Amino acid sequence: MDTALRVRGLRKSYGALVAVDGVDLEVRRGETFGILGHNGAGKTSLIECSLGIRARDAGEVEILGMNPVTERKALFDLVGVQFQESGWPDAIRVGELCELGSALYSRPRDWRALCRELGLVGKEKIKAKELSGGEKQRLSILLALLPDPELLFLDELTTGLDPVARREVWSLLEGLTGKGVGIVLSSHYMDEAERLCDRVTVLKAGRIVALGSPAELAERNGVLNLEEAYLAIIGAKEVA
Amino acid sequence: MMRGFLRLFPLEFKLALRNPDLLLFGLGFPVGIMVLIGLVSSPETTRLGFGGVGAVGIAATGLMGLPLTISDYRHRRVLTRFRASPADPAALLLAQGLTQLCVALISAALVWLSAALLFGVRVEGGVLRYILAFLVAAAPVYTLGCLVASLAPDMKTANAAASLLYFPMLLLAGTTVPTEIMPKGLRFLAEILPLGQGVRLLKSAVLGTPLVDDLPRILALLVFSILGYSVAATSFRWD
Repeated sequence: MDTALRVRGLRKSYGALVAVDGVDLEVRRGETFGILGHNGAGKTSLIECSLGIRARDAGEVEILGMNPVTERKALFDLVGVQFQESGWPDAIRVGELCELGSALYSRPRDWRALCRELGLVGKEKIKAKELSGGEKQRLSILLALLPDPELLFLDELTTGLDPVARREVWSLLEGLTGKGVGIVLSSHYMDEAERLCDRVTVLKAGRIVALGSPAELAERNGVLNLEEAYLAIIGAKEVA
Repeated sequence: MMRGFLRLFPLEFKLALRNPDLLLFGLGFPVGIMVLIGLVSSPETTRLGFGGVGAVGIAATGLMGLPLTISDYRHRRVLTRFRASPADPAALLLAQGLTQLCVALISAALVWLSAALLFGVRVEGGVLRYILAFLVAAAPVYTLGCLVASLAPDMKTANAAASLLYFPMLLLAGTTVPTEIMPKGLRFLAEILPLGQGVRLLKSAVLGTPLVDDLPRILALLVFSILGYSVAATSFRWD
């Protein structure tokens, strides 16, 4: 079994708005897979419907060979999820949030060791909402790593970070993939996807319009890099 | 589930003690009312008043603290985070319910202490009888709180529902204004509010009337609670 995520015919709409329009997708174990697209292209809906934390209208999903809804408890001991919105109780301190996160898993990793790995030592007593943007993102990675996951879902992890903080997060993620952790991430930064992802897919209005490695997409579109390929794929007009 | 609950409870309790609303309305307000009633009333009215004021903490924690905390967790997507983990939502509800109950018990203890020390009020039925009455009175109120917590889709609905339950019970169930001085129509309202029945239990504990007389009331409140909890547990929404 070498499929980490298998999605078949996934559909989701909010009233008249179709967010995910019949997506088929397969992510291999251990690869870093990028879901790219504009804001509103359906990236978050695709991830959340796949995880079963948002109801889907149609389609089937298998993660690590399990059904995320009926086998939720077994699955999420192996899968870490980072959320676009923080999802923390108000006024909670970093250390307390780590303990809260640990209480959710049957065999959590030692959060103090993760604090050292992620450079959050000395922040335990600080309120989570008072951390800097980069620290918040490192904390949300820490929380997603608590189950010692085989597979990690990251939703626009670096949005809103300055260039230095983004690169810090990148090397962190590269360290994880070096250890064999599979990653599914969504992003609208092409430099990020080009550096981190083995394969990417481009979503437009809830449909897959391209799929392949960043190099393949560039070659197929006769351009030099993923950013230009992306612009060609989604049909953006050249800005002079 | 138990392991998760045991690890969540101390954290939830710590967070609750950091909530100024809960401390003000759950602890400060009932003690203030008790002192006020004691200062302006006859010893007999003070004694009856004490029976009711003990329940103010139940209303504040069960109808405000409990549903608003869970709704806030839903609003902040803390519940979504729980959903993407192996955790059982029942563990969270239990940890939060016990946290609120602890605050209500502290509130009742403080009210009791102030009533006893300042106005010499005695609980004729004994401590155990009072605690029993307190727990049975809390059960249906916490049930209503759990229903709001489980069903309210957003903070606005939760706030409105919590207020709609909290204020009538606070004013009409005999917690603050003694039902004994109410006109007949209002007294009927107090009778059908779940907390009104709970207050009757507390008052009979204070007065030391025979427990047997309370048995039908206790039974009715427990049946109501069990039915309500089953609805709340099966209709729990994550988002």
